[in-house]
Amino acid sequence: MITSIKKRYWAIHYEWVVKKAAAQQAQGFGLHNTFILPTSFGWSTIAVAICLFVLGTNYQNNIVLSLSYLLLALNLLSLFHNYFFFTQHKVDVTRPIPDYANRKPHLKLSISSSGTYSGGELNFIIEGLIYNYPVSIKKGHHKDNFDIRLPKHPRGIHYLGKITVNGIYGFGLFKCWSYIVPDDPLVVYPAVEKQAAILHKMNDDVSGKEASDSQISISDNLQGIRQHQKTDPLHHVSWKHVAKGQGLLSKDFNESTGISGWLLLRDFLDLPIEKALMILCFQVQELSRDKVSFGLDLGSHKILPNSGEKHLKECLLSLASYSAESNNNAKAATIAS
Amino acid sequence: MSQQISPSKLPALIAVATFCYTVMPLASPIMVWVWVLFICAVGIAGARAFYDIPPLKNMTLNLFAVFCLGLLVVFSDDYGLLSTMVNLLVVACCLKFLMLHKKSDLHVILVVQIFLIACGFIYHQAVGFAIYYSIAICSLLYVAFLLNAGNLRSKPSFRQTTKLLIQTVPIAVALFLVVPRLPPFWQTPTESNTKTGLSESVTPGDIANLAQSADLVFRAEFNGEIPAPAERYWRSIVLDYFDGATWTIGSEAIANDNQPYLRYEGNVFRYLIMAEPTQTKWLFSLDIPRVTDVMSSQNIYMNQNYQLHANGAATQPSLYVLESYPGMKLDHYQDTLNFEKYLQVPNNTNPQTNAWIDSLNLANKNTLEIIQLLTSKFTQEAFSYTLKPPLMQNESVDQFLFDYQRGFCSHYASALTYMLRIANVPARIVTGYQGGQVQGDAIITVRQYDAHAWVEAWDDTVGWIRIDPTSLVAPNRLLSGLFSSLDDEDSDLIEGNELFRNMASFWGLKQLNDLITIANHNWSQMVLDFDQDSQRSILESLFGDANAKNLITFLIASFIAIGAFITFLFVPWRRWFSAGEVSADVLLVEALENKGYDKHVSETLKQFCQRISPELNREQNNLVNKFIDAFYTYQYSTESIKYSQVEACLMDSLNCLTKRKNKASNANS
Repeated sequence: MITSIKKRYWAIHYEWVVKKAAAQQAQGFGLHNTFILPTSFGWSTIAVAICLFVLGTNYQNNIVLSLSYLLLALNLLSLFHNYFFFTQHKVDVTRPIPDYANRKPHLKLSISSSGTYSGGELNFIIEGLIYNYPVSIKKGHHKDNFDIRLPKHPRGIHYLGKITVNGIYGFGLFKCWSYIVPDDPLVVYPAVEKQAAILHKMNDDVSGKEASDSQISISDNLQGIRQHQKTDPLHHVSWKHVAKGQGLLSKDFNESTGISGWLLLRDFLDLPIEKALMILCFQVQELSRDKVSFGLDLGSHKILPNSGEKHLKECLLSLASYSAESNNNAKAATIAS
Repeated sequence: MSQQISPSKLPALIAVATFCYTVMPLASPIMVWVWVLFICAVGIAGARAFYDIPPLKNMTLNLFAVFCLGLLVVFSDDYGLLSTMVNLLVVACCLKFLMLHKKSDLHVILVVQIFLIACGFIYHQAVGFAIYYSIAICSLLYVAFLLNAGNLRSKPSFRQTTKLLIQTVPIAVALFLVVPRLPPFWQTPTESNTKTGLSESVTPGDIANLAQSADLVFRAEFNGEIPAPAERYWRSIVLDYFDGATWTIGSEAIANDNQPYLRYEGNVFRYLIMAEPTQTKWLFSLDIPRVTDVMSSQNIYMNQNYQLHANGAATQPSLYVLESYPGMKLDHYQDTLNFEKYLQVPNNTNPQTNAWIDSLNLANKNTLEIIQLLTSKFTQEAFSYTLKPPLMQNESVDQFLFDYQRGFCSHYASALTYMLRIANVPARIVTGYQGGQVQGDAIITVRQYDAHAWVEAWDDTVGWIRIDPTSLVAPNRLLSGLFSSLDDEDSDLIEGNELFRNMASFWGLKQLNDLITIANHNWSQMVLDFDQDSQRSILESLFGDANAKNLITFLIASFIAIGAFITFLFVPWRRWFSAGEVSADVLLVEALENKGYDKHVSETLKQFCQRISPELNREQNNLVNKFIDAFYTYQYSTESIKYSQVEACLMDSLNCLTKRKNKASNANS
């Protein structure tokens, strides 16, 4: 009962936050979306001010009373300073860079300031973790990038949810905060596991059922050495020759050109699905690097053979978003065949 | 120590230093074991600024805290509530320093220290202490700022702290003036170990403790002539009952309310008294006082002993205006005086004195002759004045008169009063203060070491006659103050004696001393004594009448004024009325963007200008590069360069960039 009420509460809260933050990637702060309350230190000073008022009144001690008023005045001014400090900033969440499951993904924030206040701190709370950004934007230096290394995420497409931004300035008596809800999800590809790729030739009917496939082994056949060209990948550079002082030469591989085929998930049905996806993740990158035209068959979802950066991204995205349900469907299809 | 203090450790180090600074003036109420804890905690916390010392484990610290709390409870009875609270705060701060490893720990330390400073203000309220503790408060706020300063360095942080504080002060002052003063919510505990003022009993056999303190008792600000040193007898308490060892107030004199109006005549002194809290109801005045105005919350009366008193114990400073008529005889209220009580002596005590008086055959002598005969004993025999007399606990008058012949004012007063009573002359002891230091032209400052006791004897024709037996032995005591009548050993008893003597001997320091006194006097009048009446008089001066309607108008107007002040602070006037707020590089980027060059988010100004440099002409490139160099030097280098130089470079660049545009547009047209 309580759990369901809690869930309902958080659902309403989240909806409200999304509405309030207006789903902006780049967000300026103002009266419409900024909240302000004393920090624990602020509450303590207010409590002390009240205690001192009582103490000063009881002892009829004007200096103690003055101290109490000084604390109250500090709190009052801090409220305004903190608000103006916070609202001078604008936070721009750039599209999260896709990363692999065994690595900590980066989230880049661009923070700009209209520069009235220098110093202070901004904190970003993402998925319960606090990332502290000591403001280093000086007057006249209006933008700064803040690179957040998120914790490792499992393979998949993750919506980061609301990002809480809070700002503390001056004596740390007040805290302003607001929410940003990024539109773009964080894509996490499977981690990679090395294994040589086996391409399957298929009939035009790519449904898989009637496919009479033959296997093509891919190996790195070195054809020769040639002058390095700007478009050559760095790992084709023959460093041996560079070391000997013979200039920048590239290894020329010829095997891949003209080969076309399919990578099949069902090749790895005996393995756990995540491991299979990791192997495929390695293979699509290798094939793409070698400019092989290949297709990807994940059972329910297929990507037609192609090559290039866009194709690679499409394949990786499919691997990242592959769900267990479609896997089951694929298994069922295999069993049926 | 050659190690550099890391910026992250700077707040903790300043907090430790401020803690030491705050605790020093509170030395007296702090227990010895708390001092030990304090030294350890400060040592460890100070060392942490230079070495990596791990904080204590929570479990260990909690157990230690329980132990300390136990000790505080055990000792609390001896120290009183207020002192125990001070000790508790010091212990709490020390323990927090021992486990200091988070920002929130430092926040707790700051809050405790603010409370500690408030306690300091209960003990000390002089202007010097107010300045002293203001420095501590500034330092604590600086620590609070450093904790959230981000990448701001310590110097600019200090400037920001100062700026914020300066903005705060007017609001605090406005609140101080406006917020209505309330009466105490409940009875507050007083300091149990403070140096007491005059007490309502005098035991001459005990050791002198009054004269050991240089604490302020009261200040008198004269309007016109000030009395000569020999006339400055500030009457406070009259003691009439003697039990053989101690003089006390036997039965209280009747208040003067229903008595016939005294006819005041003769020479008059007009003055204002600002008295520190005495914890008794007795106040101070020269004879014969007439209260003309009272600016404290309690009424002040004169009783038949010519003493001034309030309704209850003066726990707050008192402020009242008097007239004194020193030439008048103290012969009023004869009808109601009970002379029996002024002849009371305990039975079977001091036989030697009794026998000596009997041997004098005083039966046919008048009061003045008796007084002369009795006081001649002090002048003719080897009596001396000292603050360190021997203990005289049994037959104290006998021991003093015949054995030791050494003592201070209360010994002499006690002995003479006793002798007069034996000789059938009604007599009593008056305690109060004698003398005082003249500051400036019109202020007399009276301190605890001016405490004095003298004798009054009754004569039917003259009334009460003041006799000061101490002055017969140490006439300098009367004319030049306490120090002149003491030898070196004695004068060491007085706190801060060296300082006072130096002040008296050096002209410059005396001037300084006078200045401090006057500052304290004004501070006392303007701040310490600011109360409901002061608020009422402000209201009256503004509105003519202090009624509820005017009070509400005053309050609303004050809060509007505070609001206006805040608006003034936060409205971006500069941005509204000038372009000065916009930084130079933004103006350059805007100018270049107007020319169609877009700056990427990730680019710095330098990278942006380098990228577009092929598209600018040589002159433009030169000027833009010159501006960038000046701007980067101003912004990031330690080299000092004025902002006006940066602006000059900017103007050149902008002019050059727009010139080309104009030329181009002219050409197009």
